[in-house]
Amino acid sequence: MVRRSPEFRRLRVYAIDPGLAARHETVGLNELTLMVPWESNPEIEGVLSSTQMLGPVGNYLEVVDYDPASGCYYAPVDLNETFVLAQDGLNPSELNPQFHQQMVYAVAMTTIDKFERALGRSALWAPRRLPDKSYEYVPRLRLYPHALREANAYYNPDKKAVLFGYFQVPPDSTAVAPGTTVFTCLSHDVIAHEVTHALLDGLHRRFAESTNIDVLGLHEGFADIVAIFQHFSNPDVLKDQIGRTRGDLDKQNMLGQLAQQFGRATRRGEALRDALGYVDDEGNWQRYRPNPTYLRDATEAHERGAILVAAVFDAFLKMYKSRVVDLLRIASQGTGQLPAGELNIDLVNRLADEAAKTSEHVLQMCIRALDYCPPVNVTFGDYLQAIITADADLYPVDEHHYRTAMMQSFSLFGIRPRAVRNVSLEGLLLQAGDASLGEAVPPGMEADLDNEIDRKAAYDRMEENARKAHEWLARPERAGLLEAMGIVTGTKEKVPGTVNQKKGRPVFEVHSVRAALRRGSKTNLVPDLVIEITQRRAGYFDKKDQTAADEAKPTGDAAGKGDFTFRRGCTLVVNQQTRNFRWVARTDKNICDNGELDALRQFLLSNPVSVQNAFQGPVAPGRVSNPFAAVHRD
Amino acid sequence: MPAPQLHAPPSGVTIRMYRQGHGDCFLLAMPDDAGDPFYLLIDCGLKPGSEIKATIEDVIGDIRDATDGHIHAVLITHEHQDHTNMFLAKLGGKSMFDDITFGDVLLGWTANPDDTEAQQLRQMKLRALMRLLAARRRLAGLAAAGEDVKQTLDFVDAMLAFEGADADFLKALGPTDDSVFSAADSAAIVQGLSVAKCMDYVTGKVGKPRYFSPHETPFALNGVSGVRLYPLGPPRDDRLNEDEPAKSDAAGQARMYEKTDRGHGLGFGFSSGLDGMFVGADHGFLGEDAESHDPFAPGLKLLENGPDWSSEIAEFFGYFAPPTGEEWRRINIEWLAAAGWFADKINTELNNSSLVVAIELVNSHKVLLFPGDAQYGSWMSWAVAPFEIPAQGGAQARTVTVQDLLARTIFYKVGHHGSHNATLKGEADSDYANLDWMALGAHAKEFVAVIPANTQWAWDENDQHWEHPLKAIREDLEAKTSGRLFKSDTDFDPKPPASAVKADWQKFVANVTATDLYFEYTVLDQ
Repeated sequence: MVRRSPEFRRLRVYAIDPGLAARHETVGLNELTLMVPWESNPEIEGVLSSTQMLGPVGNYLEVVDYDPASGCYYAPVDLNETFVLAQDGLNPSELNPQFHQQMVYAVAMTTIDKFERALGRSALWAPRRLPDKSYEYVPRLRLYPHALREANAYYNPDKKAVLFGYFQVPPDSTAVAPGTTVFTCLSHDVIAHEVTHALLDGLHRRFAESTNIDVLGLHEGFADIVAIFQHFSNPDVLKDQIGRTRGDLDKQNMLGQLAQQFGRATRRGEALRDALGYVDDEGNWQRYRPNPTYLRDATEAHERGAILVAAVFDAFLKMYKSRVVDLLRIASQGTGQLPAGELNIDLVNRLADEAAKTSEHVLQMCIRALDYCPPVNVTFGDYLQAIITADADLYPVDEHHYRTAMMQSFSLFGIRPRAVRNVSLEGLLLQAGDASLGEAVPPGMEADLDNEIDRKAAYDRMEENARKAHEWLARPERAGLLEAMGIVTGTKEKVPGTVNQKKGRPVFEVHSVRAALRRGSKTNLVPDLVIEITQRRAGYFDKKDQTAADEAKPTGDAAGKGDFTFRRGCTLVVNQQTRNFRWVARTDKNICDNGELDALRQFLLSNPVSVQNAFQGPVAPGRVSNPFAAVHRD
Repeated sequence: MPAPQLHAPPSGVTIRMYRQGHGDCFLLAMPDDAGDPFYLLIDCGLKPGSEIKATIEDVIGDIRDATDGHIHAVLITHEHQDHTNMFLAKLGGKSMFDDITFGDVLLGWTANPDDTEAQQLRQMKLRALMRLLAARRRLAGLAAAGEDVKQTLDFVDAMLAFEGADADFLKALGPTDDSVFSAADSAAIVQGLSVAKCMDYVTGKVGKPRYFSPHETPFALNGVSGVRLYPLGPPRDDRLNEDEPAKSDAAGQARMYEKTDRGHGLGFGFSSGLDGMFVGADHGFLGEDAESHDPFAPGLKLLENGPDWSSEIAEFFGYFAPPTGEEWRRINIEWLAAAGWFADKINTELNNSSLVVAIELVNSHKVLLFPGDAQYGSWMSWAVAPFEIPAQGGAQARTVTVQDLLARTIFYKVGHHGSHNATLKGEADSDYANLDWMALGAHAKEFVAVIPANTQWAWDENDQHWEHPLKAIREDLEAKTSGRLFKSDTDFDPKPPASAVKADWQKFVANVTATDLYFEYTVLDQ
């Protein structure tokens, strides 16, 4: 008999969180079976063998159940154990720590899987910075299901770990019975949200530097978007709600309400709670109607993130409505009036399928856009351009008008790119490539065509390719190409002394060269390289110091000089075959621009978001040890 | 016997604002009914290390000389180090205030041991401080074991310092051990914090302190009929808990000079689900059951080398987890970081217990406002009720509104070193007390503001980086006072600033004496 490992492992989880099972109106919704890619323990001499799935520790994740506040460990589950395998994993239970391990693993693996599908490559975690400033490959993200005793969970970029908290519900709570222990590691939303932070950190090293009002909001909002749509892409979650609202489009608001329930017990997912709607005077839930003034008035990370979520959710509703209009016509015999009574179960299933499919598409659009964002200082406007360009790139024909829906919803919520004069689908496209500028990468930069390849090898090749690309671009004859994508080479303008330079020439870093192999509309595979290039400059809070340093001779490496670091750069999408770049996503202005430098200075000096509490002052980017923990507490 | 060196003006009041550092200390002199000076001291403290030019000894020496060793009334706005610690300052082992006598001690209702509500608050604060000390003991234990807990420990210590926890106190508190404390034992330790001792010292110098609640009938100082004191705070309702408006409260946010990103007070952080953390930190110190907040049944706990510690499990955790696994991924200390947040909560919320007084000069009706460190909720509560003044002698009963009092304010001690939530923004016709309610009409020409702050220390030399004063508040004050603004760390410049009206400035300068030790300013009751 030939033994082949299965494609998937079926694991049971709480559909949303255990709190939902404890409430009468949602009791039918408490359990879900996830299909996660099959894997067993990696071979580690004397510790793990591939016959087991202890931990779970796989290729991407390691669940380590240490509880420092209780001073103990909890025994690791073995998902390959016969009885566990025979029943799709352990039974959902709040009382069983091994089930907690299973659930964080299953939901986190699902999130990773969504990312890999959308981006067309293996997910890598951010490498670890060693004391000697070199970088070390980190194979697995660590998950600590019981690390904190508070209503909090966060990704710690130094430890490449997600720490989940648990706490007893205080006596004044009405949402959950006082005294109940709430585990954040049992909330689908919290897990997806935090793992998304970790995935983003692995994708863009400088993506989390809070250099403008949008950066942290984008992180928070994006993580919530992943959490919601990962959830909705499973039709079982939606059937109950769609049946209850009778498929009536105007009542599809219930979807939003459902999304908001995620955050109830854990007091997390605040963006979800605040983003989508409110309870009116009559006690009915109302979705927020789009209003561009929300964004103008929102200055805090969660608030702005919430607006991003609301905009994407609004687009989702538009897409869903357009996808089910035929189904409703059929079901209502063309009257638009559905017959009274319960909906036909077949119709419910079809509607739920359409909603799930739409969610999957929204999720893919939103994740794929990450490869089309500038490497630093991203704004919501940049993100919109990235969504539109990425989608147009892969699906030239926009059958369901998804792009129009996105553009319109973003616009209604006041999100538009700064530099775009004309908000139209065409106007929102990024700067397209120009073959006459020459090849952006040297020949022979083959990227892997196999996603299943050893991830360490993929990481090493990425580093190697970054070196090769840098060497290629640094040649004097590429100055024209670099200038065309906003990288300063010193051939066109006088370069301030604070810009990082070597031998009198401004230098640039190639952060990464990532392969992307995605499926386009013609079921063709689109092989690309995504390259991030940045430059840096020392910034001073005092303008006099700045002018003096700008006029002084370049002092070599600008790292650690000045009060803060100012970066500009671009992301290139390069065709692997022609080696020409197809798209470039650039930051506003280049590294020499004093206006942008001053905007960053003003942001750091005055932005209340960077003030961590009533007494704290601004914190320069890259100088906060863990921005995520601070954003999440309370 | 030398005569007191600080003279009271013929009418009105002379205010000596000491420049000791980051903290409040004001000595007021006013004529009593016999024409002799009456001295009122409002607060006496500073953040250690924030000295400007004068030393603590200089300041207390000056207070003794100025008053000839007797202060008729001492008012303490609230129980924070930077308002109280100089009362226990020692020179040559002797308390410097020992040879100064007090007539009266004036405090807010929150300090009254006979007030039921105040008792509850004190109980809550005691519990909160016990929890914080439990976390502090655990952090000290981890530090002793070589863990890097500096950041959290420093933050907790900075906040405990507001309660007067000095190095000696923290040393005596010690790290976590296996000892079990009785409730009385740990309460006694909290009582040993130096601010608590300061309060005991000050109240111990008089028979019985006087306590005040907002909107009570204005009170007079003994034998001084020329001034009347109106207590505006601390609030007796839920406003007491509001250090900032909630993030979602748009109207509240609009009243701030800077948008806030947190919700308001939570009653010393108690509804935040942190109890389990503190029990985990040091259940013995709290006298609670160690297992009370365990997440799972006792049988599921897996202890190193315990009965279920199989070789497979030992290998697994040996490889992945502390103490022998990957060092850089250990999580031994992260769970205690929330103690810093909790500490900040306790500290911030206490500011609202400030006794806020408006001092009215009876002839000219000019008002001096001393709000202590009152924050958002307190400000919002001031105008909810007017003052009813009963008929007295020939005068008829009348009503005085807070808006009217503030409109006549010609001297403002800026709240909480000028921080973002201790001076509210608004308009003259807003329905809550704010900066624009102050000094209307002819009073505008005379309006003076004082900021007790060492800005450079608060920002650079203090790990917490406080913006004291907030730029937006300082700028509004500069404009509103036309430059008649004192800040402890900035020498007074008698030259009129560009914005000043010359005649107003000359009148103002004539009433100012500035030295390295203090700014002195006289308001005449005319």
